[in-house]
Order: sequence, then C-alpha cells, then structure tokens
Amino acid sequence: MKKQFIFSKKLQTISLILMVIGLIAGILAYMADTNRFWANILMSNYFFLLLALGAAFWMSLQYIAEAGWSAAFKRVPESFSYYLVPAFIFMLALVFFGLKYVYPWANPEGHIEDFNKYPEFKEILEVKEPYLNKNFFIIRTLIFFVVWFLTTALLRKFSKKEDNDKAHALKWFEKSRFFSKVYIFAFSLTFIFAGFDYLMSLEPFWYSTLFSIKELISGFFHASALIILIVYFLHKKGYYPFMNSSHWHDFSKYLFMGSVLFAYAWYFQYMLIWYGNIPEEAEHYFLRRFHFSQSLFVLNIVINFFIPFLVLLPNKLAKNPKVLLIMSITILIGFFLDVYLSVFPPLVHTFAGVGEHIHPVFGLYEIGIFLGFAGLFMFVVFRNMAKRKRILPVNHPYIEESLLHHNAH
Amino acid sequence: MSKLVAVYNDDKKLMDAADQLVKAKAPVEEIITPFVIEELLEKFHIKSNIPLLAFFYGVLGVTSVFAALYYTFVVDYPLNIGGKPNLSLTFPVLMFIGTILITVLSTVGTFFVMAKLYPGKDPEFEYPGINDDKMVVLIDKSKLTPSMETKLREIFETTGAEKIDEV
Repeated sequence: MKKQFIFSKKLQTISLILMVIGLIAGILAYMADTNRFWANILMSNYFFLLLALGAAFWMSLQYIAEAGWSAAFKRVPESFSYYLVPAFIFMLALVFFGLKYVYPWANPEGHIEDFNKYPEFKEILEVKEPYLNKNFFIIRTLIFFVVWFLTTALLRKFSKKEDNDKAHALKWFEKSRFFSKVYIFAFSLTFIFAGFDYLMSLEPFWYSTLFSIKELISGFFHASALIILIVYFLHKKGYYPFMNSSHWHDFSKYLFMGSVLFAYAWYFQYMLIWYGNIPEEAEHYFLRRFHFSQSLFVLNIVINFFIPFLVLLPNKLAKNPKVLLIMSITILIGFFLDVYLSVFPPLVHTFAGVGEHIHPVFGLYEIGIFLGFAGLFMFVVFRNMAKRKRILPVNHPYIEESLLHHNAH
Repeated sequence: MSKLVAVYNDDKKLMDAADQLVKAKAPVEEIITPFVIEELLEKFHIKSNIPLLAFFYGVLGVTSVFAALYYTFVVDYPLNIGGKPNLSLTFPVLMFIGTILITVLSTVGTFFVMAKLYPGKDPEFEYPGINDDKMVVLIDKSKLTPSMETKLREIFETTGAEKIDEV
C-alpha cells in the first residue's frame, strides 16, 4: 500500500496543459468578446468554488455525525478547500475589472434594453442601491472569503495537529468536531448572501429567497460526486487497497440522497414561482424555458435527478464502482449545466454575434476556459494532497473502523 | 413436535454460532431476535424480494395517484383555478405523498401475508425471555439424526449459548 500521495509527472503535465489551454482560450475570448470572457470566468470559478465549499461541508458532516467509514478518505475533501485561494483571486479580478461586463446593476445602460425609456427600471435599482453597489459588493466578497478561508484553514490545521501529536490526538479530533459545526453555521449564513450576490444579482429585477438554499444543496450534492471521482482515481492508483463494496455503497448513498434533495430544491423554487405567477418572479424561468432553451431546462433535472435516482436504486448497481464513476461524471456534467443555466441566459444578449433572438451560446471558449479551471483545480488539490506525509489520517480515532468497514447489505 | 432450542444473550456469539451452523448444514427452522440483524439473512443466503416489490408498489403508487388526479382535475371536473392549466405543476406534491402512503401500506401488507401474520393470531412459539433480550435458535428435532444433534449441541456449547433446551 502506498503511504504518501505522489503528484506524478504525468498528472502535473496534464494539469499544466489544461491550464495552458485555459489561458489561451481566455486570451482569445477576452480579445473577441469581453462580456463573454467575464461570464465564463464567473461560471467556471463559481463551479469549482462551490465544489470546494461543498466538499468542506461534506467533511464537516462526517465529523459531526461521527461517521467512522469515511475517516480514511478525509484528505480528499480537505484538499479541495485549498482551491479557495485561486477562487478568491479570480473573484477579486471579477469584482475589480469585470463587474460592469457581467452585472447589470453595475452598468444598467449596457445590459438592460430601453433602460432610459422606462423610469421603473431606474426606481427598482435605486431601491436596491444600498445593497447592490460596487463598494459593498467588494466588502462582502472579502468577508465571504475571509470567513470561508479561516474556518476551512482551522479544520486543516487541527487535522495536521492530529497527525503529528499522537498523545493529544483525541483532543484535536474534538476540536475539529466543534469547528465543523462552526464551519457549517458560518458557511450557510455567508453562502446565502454569496448566492444572492454572485448569481442572483445577474438579474437585478428578480429575487427568490429559495435561490441560495438550492445552490447550497447543489454544492453538497455535486461535491460528493467529485469526491467519488477522485477517490475512484486514487483507488485505481492503489492508494486505497482496503476499499470494499460497503465503502462504495456508502458513497453512492450520498449521490442518491443528494439527487433527491436537489430535485426537491429545484422543484420547490420552480413550483412556487410557477404557482405565484408574479411577473417579476416568473421572468427568471420564462427566460430560461421559453427564450433560452426548453430542452436544456428539462435536461438539467433529468441529469441531476432522474438518471442517478433510477440507476442507483438497485442494490447491485449502487455498489459497483464503475457505475459510480459514470454516475459521478454524469452528475458533474449536470452541475455544469445547472451553473450554465444560471449564468448564461441573462447575459447572452450582450455577447457579440447574438441578434434579437436569444439562443444558447456554447463554444470553444466555454470548453477551453472550463478546462483551464479544471487544470488549476487539479493542480491545487493534488499538490496539496501530496504535501501531507500520509494519504491516510494517522491518529484519527475512527481510522481502524474505516479500514474494516463492513455493512450487512 | 419437539424442538431443540439454544438461547443466546449476545449477538456476537449468535453470529459465531450462525457461521458454524451454516457450515454444518444444520436444518435451522427459525432464529428469533429482539432486533433486526441483517447479517443473519446474508449468512443463511436468504433473499427477500420485498425491496423489489416495494419498488413496484412505488411505481404503481405514482401512476395511480397521477391517474386519480388527472381524472378529477382534468377529465371529470375541470375548474379554473386562477387561470392555471388543469394539468398542474402542483401534482408532484400529492403524487409524492400518495406514493409514500401506498408503498408503505402495501409493503407492510405484503410482509404480513408472507409471514402469515394477522391480528389476533395465536403465537407459534413461546419461550421465556424471547420478548425481552434473548436470541433464540430453533431447530426441528424430527429432521435431526442423532450424530447431527450431538454436533449441534457441541456448536451451541462452544459458541457460548446461555442455555440449551428442548421444547
């Protein structure tokens, strides 16, 4: 059994190549269409930011539930939270340089058709001015990232202390347990506003109090898919030789549960807005379903709910690592689609080459920039995972239970 | 009909005994435990088809509740509620709850039929302590050869049965 994770040369080259692709696509996109470039930066960065936060949430959940089976895989979600640093840099860049290209409230004339013709538009934005203004937006971004970074850094610090300090391992474990609660509390409180800021304010006339809850659930669900993907990869490379069907089954339970939870969140927001039928609320779904793309709108819920739900229902399929691999890739594609449907529809009309009719815009810029971010994420996560001396936690009180984990079914 | 009864008070000891009983191919009639031990089913290779039936009940529940809603709201008595279409997006809420109700009730009903249980049925087997914390292995004596019986008694003794009895 390999003890330390090694960030192999091959992986390094892959991630560097991906980053170079992203850089080239980014430069080309910036020269061709600035609006589209910043929309892509927001989309891809938000994608991985939410995965990093959701993985930390996943790990905190293991701590507070005192789950034994997952102790061996703690390094994976732990390393995800290192991505918060590049995510912060990109968000800062977006806030300082790209705000007027992406957010209509920062540049109403450039985004909203007939803005000067109808005084109502101006009135709504003036009412929202105390919250949606550039300075407060910067302050909020700083607060969010400081809170997220501090809480996740504390969890990582306690985990390191636990590894090195055998005599007081239990004390550090108890501390991690306590700070997991702190993280969950702080994360849910700040993320509600982060969701409002980064995605919901793309449509400044629309509001939904359920929006951030849906994003939070989606982060948790899709982060568990990415954790499974990386655990599968590490298992293939021989880092987790002890894994049996019970471990896979417990992982698949997260996907199954997450898909139901996601469908619930997706449905409650859609159904309430559909039933309320208030024009400024319905506008959000009207834009996506009837102006942008009806098929993508339906595909979102099919990929994120129906496929994983039906495939993971039989006991045999739920324990099969190959099925889990395919499912987690499908679900991550579904997450991309979900974020794409959040970011692109309100911005599409500002892209060059789009006429009066709104239609989905998806091309090499999107793929390239996303691949660049994926490479960056890979690089950050694997590099930091390789820094830890052992891939398995050393003095974790539940590590033995995790290695010998066995379920009856 | 006489039965060989082994009483255990620890599920770990019972698990050891179960392993050896399977190996010895003992004609175990029943094991009565105060809580569910799913590993026992796995050890004796007993497969239950209740999960599969529950899935079909779920499918039946979804379709029947949808059919009922469709009949009432669209076919039989279409009402204009706030200008909404009759085939409404609020159906899933009722379908969800109705499916749970139908699935749970039919699954419990199936369980009762499969286990041949009904309210007011006389107990098939009585022994002091089996309603409390004792785990009991029942073996039909008429199917046992004398050599098999000594072997089983030995198994029960070595695995730490609290009491070996005949009823």
